[in-house]
Amino acid sequence: MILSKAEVEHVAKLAQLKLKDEEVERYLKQLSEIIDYNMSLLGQVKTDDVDPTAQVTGLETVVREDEPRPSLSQEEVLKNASQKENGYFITKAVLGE
Amino acid sequence: MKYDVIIGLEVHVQLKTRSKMFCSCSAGFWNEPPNTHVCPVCLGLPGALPVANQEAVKSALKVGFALNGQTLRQSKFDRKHYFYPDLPKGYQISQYDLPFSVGGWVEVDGARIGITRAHLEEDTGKLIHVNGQSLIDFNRGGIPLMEIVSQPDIRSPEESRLYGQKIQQIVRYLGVSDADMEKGSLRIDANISLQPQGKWKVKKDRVVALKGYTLNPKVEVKNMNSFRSVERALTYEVERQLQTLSAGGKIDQETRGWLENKGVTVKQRTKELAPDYRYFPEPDLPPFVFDPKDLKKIREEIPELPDEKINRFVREYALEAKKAQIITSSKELADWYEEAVVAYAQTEKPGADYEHIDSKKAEIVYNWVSGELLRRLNENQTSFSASLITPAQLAQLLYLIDKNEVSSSTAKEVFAEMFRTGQDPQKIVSEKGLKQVSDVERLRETVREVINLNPKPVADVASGKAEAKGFLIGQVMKLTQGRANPGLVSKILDEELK
Repeated sequence: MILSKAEVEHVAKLAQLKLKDEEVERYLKQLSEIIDYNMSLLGQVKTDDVDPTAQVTGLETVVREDEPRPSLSQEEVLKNASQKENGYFITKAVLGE
Repeated sequence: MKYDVIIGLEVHVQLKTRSKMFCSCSAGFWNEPPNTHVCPVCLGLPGALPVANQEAVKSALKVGFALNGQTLRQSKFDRKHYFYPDLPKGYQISQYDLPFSVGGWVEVDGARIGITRAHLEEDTGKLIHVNGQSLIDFNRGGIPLMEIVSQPDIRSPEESRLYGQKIQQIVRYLGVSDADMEKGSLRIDANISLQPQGKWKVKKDRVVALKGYTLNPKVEVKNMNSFRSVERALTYEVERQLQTLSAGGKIDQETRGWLENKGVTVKQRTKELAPDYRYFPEPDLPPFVFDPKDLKKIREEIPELPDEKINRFVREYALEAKKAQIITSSKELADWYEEAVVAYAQTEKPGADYEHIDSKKAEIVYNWVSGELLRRLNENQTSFSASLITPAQLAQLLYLIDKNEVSSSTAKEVFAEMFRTGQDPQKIVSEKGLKQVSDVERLRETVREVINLNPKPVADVASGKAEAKGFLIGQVMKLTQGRANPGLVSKILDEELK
């Protein structure tokens, strides 16, 4: 297995997912297979002379003028919110205050 | 055991742009209804494309230069991931390994405090916690925010405050931020630890233990909402850690919040996150490659900064360093002062330039500005920009004193009127009849009257008591409502008492 159980639990915690033990086992197997397969493909590519990048467009230094434009209306902004009140989004408090 | 106090500060400064960092929502969100300055980009809706605000990037570069930092040839934005409701995207666009400015220093009261880096990011939304719920307002989300990280070079709570104030002063001189702690446009977090003297050093921006010794953990202090509370909170924290360590206790590595009302720091509940931000380059924002010519142009736009101004005032005006520091506390004040000094010099020598300013004149202007003007501005809670009196008018008033047209005590009265109305001193003097009495015959009459009314002091003067003469001069001033020329009065008094 390419991943450890601890790594799966860590990723679940980062994603704020509460997994049962059998789920951790299931995802451990699935995630390991996915990563293993992808790594095996990537391993075949010769990248010795290629710089790391996160860009594919070749663009650089793209900026815009500091010019304000109208925003969405408050109504539009909150349209998809499952809970709202007085113009605010509402969520369960993450800090137990 | 003797301990060193080791403090590093993170200062966040909101940049004063018209629009947000990565979208065109108006950045003027102060006191606006919630979620009215929000668009698909700052709300993190799928498919929205962030584009960097050119003005914010320019301001960030200026801050870097002003902090003596280095601009890298290439810079980029990265995604910093964490789940918290103040971030709609699940990540914050920030800068990781290639920030806009690296290294640098500022001088604080003679000590050089190192700067690790200064980077640009987006501010988060605002949360209001009530009854187990959080209300979210994303108006602040996406406001350009600079984070300035100091080296662990700060050695006391007082130095922490001074450092924060220095950063505030610099960004205000640059005109890139209001840097107002009460409004949250400048925010300070501190990392503080106590280590035994001689058992640690700073290596590659970090405090490391010398051989055979383990560091005491550092504590992060948050929620300090004024410079005063920075100093208070850290003073409290030094004392708390000192007591714990002295009693053989251990310091926990934790985040503590300052409670202003109670004057204590308390352990803050953390966000219960794994400390793993999984930074990676922001694919939606192409990297920045700076043309040295553009950088040079930006550097040239930086105004004279406080330290340079202090040095110049000391050099050119022979002003004491302490006074130069006070008069340069804000750019507006320093500019006002300097304009008045030059205008005053030109009352006698039209066309007088900076290099030929009489230091006595510079000193006189200093006394009026730091005394009368600042006092009245404070009393009236008026800002410089709203003040009615101009530097040229102060110079005219000082000229009237020099020409003996008004006595210095009357001049204060005239100044008060100028401050209140913005009128020229000449006009006030002539309309209120405040012109100094230099008419010898008129003054002689008054002097004689005073001599007749005060036989005892007169006798005292005769027996050599100098303070009795001062009293008699004072009586003449009183009878002339302070308008007599004191030098002249003294001379006439000598003649009459011979």
